[in-house]
Amino acid sequence: MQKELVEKISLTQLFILVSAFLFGSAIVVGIGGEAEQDSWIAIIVACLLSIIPVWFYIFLVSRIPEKNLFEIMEIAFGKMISKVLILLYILYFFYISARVLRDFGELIVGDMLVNTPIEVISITFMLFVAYILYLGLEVLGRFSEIYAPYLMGSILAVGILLLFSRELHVKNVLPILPEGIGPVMNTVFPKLITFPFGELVAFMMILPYASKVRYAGKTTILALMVSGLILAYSSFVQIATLGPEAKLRSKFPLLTATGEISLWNFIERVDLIIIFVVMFGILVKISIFFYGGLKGLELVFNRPYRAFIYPMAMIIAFMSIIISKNFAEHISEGISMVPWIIHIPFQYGIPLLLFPFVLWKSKGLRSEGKKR
Amino acid sequence: MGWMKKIILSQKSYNQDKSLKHEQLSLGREAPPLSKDLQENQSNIEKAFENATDFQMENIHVGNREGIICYLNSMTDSSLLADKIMVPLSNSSQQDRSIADLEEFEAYRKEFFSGVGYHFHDTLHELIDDVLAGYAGVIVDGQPKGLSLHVGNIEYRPIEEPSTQTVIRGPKEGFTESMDTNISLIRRRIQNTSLKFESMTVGKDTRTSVTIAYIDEVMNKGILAEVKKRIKKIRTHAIFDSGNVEEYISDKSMTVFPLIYNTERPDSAAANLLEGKAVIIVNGSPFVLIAPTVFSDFFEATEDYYQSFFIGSFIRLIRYASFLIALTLPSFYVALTAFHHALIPTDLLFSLQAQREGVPFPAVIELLIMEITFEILREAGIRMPRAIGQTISIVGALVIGQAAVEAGLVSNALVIVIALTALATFVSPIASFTAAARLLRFIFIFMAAVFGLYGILLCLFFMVAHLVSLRSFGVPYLAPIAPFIAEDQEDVFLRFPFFANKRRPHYLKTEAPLKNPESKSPSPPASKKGDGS
Amino acid sequence: MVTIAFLFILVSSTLLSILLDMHLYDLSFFQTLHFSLTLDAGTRKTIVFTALITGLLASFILDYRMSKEESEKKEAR
Repeated sequence: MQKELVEKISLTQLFILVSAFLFGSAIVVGIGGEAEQDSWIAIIVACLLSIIPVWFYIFLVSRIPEKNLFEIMEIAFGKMISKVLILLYILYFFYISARVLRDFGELIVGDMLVNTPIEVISITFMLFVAYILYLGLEVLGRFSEIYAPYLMGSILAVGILLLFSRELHVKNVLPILPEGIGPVMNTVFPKLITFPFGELVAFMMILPYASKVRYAGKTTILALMVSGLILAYSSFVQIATLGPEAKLRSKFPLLTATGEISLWNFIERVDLIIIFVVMFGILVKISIFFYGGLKGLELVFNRPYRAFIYPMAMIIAFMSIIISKNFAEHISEGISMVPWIIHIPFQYGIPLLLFPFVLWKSKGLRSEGKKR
Repeated sequence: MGWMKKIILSQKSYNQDKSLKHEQLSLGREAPPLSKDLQENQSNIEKAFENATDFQMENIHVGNREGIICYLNSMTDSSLLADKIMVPLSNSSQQDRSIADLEEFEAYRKEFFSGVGYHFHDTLHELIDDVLAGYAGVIVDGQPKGLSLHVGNIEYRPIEEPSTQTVIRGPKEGFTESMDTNISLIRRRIQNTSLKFESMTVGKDTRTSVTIAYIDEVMNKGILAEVKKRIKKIRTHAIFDSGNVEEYISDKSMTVFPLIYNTERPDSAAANLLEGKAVIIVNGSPFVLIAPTVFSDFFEATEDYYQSFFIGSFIRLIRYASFLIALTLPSFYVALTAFHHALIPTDLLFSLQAQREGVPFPAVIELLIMEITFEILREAGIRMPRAIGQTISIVGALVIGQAAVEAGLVSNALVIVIALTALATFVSPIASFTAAARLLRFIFIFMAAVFGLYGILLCLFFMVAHLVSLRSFGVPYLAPIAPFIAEDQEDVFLRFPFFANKRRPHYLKTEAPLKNPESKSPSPPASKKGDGS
Repeated sequence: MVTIAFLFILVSSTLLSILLDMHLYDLSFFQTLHFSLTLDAGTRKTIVFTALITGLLASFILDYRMSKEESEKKEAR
């Protein structure tokens, strides 16, 4: 029997996946709106602060090499407890994918295909996610290499085009920090630190498959910084174009802002094209969460993860619909409850709990290694 | 039903005895081993070639012994046969030379038939195989071995200009149906001992010979072994064209994208050999296969390398653009006119709507009518006898043109869309690659009609994911782009000048990664201080 | 196994979303259940339910196939 090949992703691919993952739905729904004109500062602060948890995730994964989060939990907590925790994590991952899918569905239905039911969008998109994960993680990595330039390029181009359309008004951004750092920190905790940055916890499922594990951590943190900057830039552009109030009121501020672009009476309604670009970020985000959940199912139910893909994809499509009645409910849930009840325990609680066990177990593993 | 049973039986014995070097013909009669008795051999051969009018067998004197010579006059050159075989034979019989044992038989061959290709055979069916391939078989009474001598010279189409990949500047020779000619066309371009040719026979009934050409010091050994393995693994009864071989050795058959390159141009084959690829020549086919191949190969024409790299790169970008146009332009038309009016500049929208006013169909139906009409025209243009080929252009111009617009079936803008799409389809240098765009286009149109731009993008996602998952002999299909290899970009979207293009592609994992390390820019070096010369 | 996983994930994720809704709207459990699973005319939830059923069928088929493969393996031994 041939040994089953472990899928590997290169560092470039990891970089692209991390940044596309962070852009994902964050760039669509707009983040840090509560900090008003200082939301771009809030994003930078949150990005810098979240280096600590991300470094912590990387540390956990690197202590026990070639094991993903769930396998580490199995080593640390033993079979029974870890199974329960893994199931909870699977639920978390699937729930978040469903939320992201709903964001995307609302975007398409609200702006592009007004007469199309959102269910159809959810299902078709999940079919694609299922297809690409069926082809494997490697394919997802290579796929993202092709689309990444368009994603980054068009986010940057939006600002430049707005500048040429004379829609950027610096007075919208002023004054900087009128009430001190307080409102900014309130946005950072707990919202920005959990969404989008804390969601990188899902990468604990991917990091062990990077081809050069030693540099994977550095790559991830670099990607975090770069995408934090780009998110801040995008947020800055949105505020400068729309002003803080309009930005907060808008469902999808990036689209509203790009809608302002108008050049030579020819380049207009670019927002429809931006949706294309955003779709790629959404795809990466859903795929990674979904992949994490599938890997967990593989471990718990002892079946290859490809077997679960289609049924679970359909569950996520279903979930994205029943999760909330309308978009207002969806967003208010996302703001008031999800960070506290769902994000914090899974992004910080369990990993922190894991920390002493991992230290203890990895010590054991290392001394064993020395004896040999 | 006897023949059927025989096929099944011979199939069985064929499966059982894989160690047999030359499998027996499943069609036709089984041929027993050579015996020392001339009469028996003669009757066996006669039986094998029963009812074959082109078969000739003559009793002859070989030295001091009785013998027979047999050949197919359809496969041999009669003047060659007379000069090289018959004259020496009669000379030898006049000399009354003795042929008592094998050694003397071999010495006899050296003396009288030197310079003629030959084989010695232990079994009768090996001999018969050679006779079928254009050899003359010679059997001598009392000899355990039969001799076959090459006198084949079959009329082939002369070397002509290739009909598919035409160039303005560059060599105008094309491959022909004859394997020997094709090999010589390649050999003429690479006069180097490390150019190797290996032959094998494929096809139970047709026994087509297939030759693999490669450059020993360049080609990756693993990939070469894989190519050989796959050709050996072909289990079929008939091979008529390299297209048959291609389907059997592709990594994946459920794809519309060709995973093996085919070309009619010897210069293209030679260039690919030197890049580190294998060329597969199938007897009877003017198209040779090149493996492994990547997506970007299908956008490269040999002419890119024969003209200035500026124009070469520009044309290459045009090819990529036209692939996208051929794939998506009709679906964009549908999506924009049916869903996203806002994306069309206002003035253009007004004129589009004014044109569509009299058209009774929705945009999709309108488009599908024209697309299918075009495909019909295209197919008719290919299959139609040359003599009435003129008609097609007249009829075609009428159908996709003013008449259709005036009849109120389609709008003017749509005619432009269809015409541009059709033109863009033919830009790819390799005809088999256009099939991908032609087929996928319909899926794109359908999805655009249902989901608008979202549908198009979803289709593009599916297509790219599929492309990314493909491999050609283990090499990722989108190789220098995804996985991204920075060093290989010198010959993908742009053609860098030769002096800047020093390496062979990394993804081919060649044994010799550098191809011209010493090449330098022809312009004089920037003069240093004090360097007067 | 796939079917079990399917049902488990389906039930528990529905529960999760219902619990969240309960908090948000201050309704009782059954009210929320009714509220989120009823098929309103116009929202075309039928489409997702059909998709869900195909998922269930797929998991049945996958389970059947895998059990068959396993038994074949055992026979081979």
